[in-house]
Amino acid sequence: MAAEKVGLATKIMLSHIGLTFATFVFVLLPLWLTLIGGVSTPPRPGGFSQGGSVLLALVSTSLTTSLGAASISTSVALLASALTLFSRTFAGFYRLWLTVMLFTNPIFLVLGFSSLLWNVEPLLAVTSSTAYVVLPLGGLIIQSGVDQIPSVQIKAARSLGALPIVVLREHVLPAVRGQLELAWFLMSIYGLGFYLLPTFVGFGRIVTLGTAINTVTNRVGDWVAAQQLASVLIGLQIVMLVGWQFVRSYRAVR
Amino acid sequence: MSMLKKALAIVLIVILGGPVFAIGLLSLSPSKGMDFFSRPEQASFQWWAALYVDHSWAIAAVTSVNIAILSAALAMICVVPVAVYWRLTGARLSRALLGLSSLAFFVPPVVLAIGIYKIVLAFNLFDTALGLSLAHLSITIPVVGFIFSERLKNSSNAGFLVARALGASPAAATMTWLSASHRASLTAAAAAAFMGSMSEATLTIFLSDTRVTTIARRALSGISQDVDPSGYAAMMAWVGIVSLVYICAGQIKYSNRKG
Repeated sequence: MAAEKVGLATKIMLSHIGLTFATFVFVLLPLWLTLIGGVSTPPRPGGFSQGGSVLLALVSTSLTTSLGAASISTSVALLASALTLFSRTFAGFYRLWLTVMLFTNPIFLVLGFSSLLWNVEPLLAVTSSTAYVVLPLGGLIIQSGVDQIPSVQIKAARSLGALPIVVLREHVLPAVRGQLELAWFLMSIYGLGFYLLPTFVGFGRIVTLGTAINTVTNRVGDWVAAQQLASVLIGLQIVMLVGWQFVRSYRAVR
Repeated sequence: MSMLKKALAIVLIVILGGPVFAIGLLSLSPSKGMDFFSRPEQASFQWWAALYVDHSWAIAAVTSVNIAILSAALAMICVVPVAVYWRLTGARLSRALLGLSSLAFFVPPVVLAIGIYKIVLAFNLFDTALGLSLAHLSITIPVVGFIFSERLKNSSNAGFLVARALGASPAAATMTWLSASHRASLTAAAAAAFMGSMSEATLTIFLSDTRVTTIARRALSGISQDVDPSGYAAMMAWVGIVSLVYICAGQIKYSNRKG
C-alpha cells in the first residue's frame, strides 16, 4: 500500500513537472526570448528608428482590422445564435458550421478569400475575411450563452405577443451580455496577430504588425526588427487587456 | 417561421456558407486557374483528380496526422493528471499551472513562432516532425486544459469517493471514475487537440521548410509559388471529412442517449 502511494505521488509529481516543463519551453521561454530580444536591443534601421509614423500606421491598421472584424463577427454571431432559438434547421446548420470552421485550416480559407475578394477594397477584404476566420471562436462563446437561456422563457415571451426583435432585445441580449463582451474581446485580441489574411487577401497592400513581422523575418531575415515589432504587438494586447479589465471593474463598481 | 425570420436565416446561411460554397465551385474549375465555370456541363473534376494523383498531398496529410497524434498525446499526458489532481484535491498550484499553460491561447502565434524558432534551432529540431509536434504543444495544451478542466469543474467526483469507500486504491478509484464519468470529455479534449494541431498554420510555416511538408505547408506553397486550384479540392475534402465526423459523433451521442 505504501509502495503504491509512493508510486502515485511520483506519477502526480512527474505530470506536474511535465506540464511545467512544456509550459516553460513552449510558452514562457518563447515569449521571453521574443520580448527580451525586442526591448533590450538598440533600434536598427527598419525597426523603430524608421520613425514613429510607420509604427503608428502599422498599429492603427492592425487595430482597424482586428476591432472591425471582431465587431462584424459579434453582430453576425449574435444574430445567428438568436435565430437558433426559433429555427431547429438553422440551429443544426449553424452548429455544424461552427465546428467545421473552427477546425478548418486558415490557409485553405485564405486560398478561397484571395480569389473571391481580389477586386474588393483591400482593407474591407482583409477585415471581412478576418471576421469570417474569427467568427467560429466568438460564435461558440455566444452560442454557449444562448444555450443557457431556458426555452420556456422565450416561448412565454412569444406567446405573450413579444416580437422576435423584442425577444432579442429584452431576453437574449441581457442574458448573453457577458459572452458578447468576452467574444468581442477575444476575437479582437486573436485577430490582432493575423498575417496570412493581410498578406494573401490584401495582396500586400494592407500592412499590419503580423505581416510586418512575417516580412522582416522570412524575407528580410532581420530577427531583431521582428522581435521589436512582436514586442509592440504584445504590448498592444496587454494595453487592450488592461483596458478591458478596467471597463469591467468600473462597471462592477457602478 | 415568419417571412422575416426566413429571410434572416437565408441571409445568414449565404454569409456563413457562401465562401465555402464558392470554394467548392472553384474546385470544379475547368481551366488551369481560379475561374468559375459559366455552364454546369463545363464543371470538371480535374483538381479533385490532381489531389488524388499528386502524392505530395498524401505525404503532407500523413505527416500532419503523425504530428497531430504525437502532439495531442503529449498534451493529454501533461494536462489530464494535473487537471484530475486539481479536481480531486483542489490544489491551487495545479490550478495555477493549468491557467499558466493556457496563456499561449492569448499570444499571437506569430509572436510565439519567433521564440520557438530559436529554441527549435538550438536543439537541431528545425524542419523535423518532432520539432513541429513539440511546438504544437503550445496549441494543444491550452485546448486540452480548457476543455477537460472545464468539464471536470462542472462535474461531481462522487464516483471517485464511492470507489474509495468500497476499498479501491486512489489510482484505481481515479481510473474507475474517469472511465465511467469522463470518457466523453477525454475523447473530446483529445479530438480537439488533434484537430487544433491539424489546422495550425503559423508555427508550421515558421518551423518547417522542405523536409517536413504538412497540409498547411503544402497549401501555402500552392498559393505562393503558383496558382494551384487542387487546394480548393483539398479544402472541400477536409470540410467534408470534418462534417462527416461531426454528424457521426452527433448520431452516436443521440443513439446512446436513446438507448
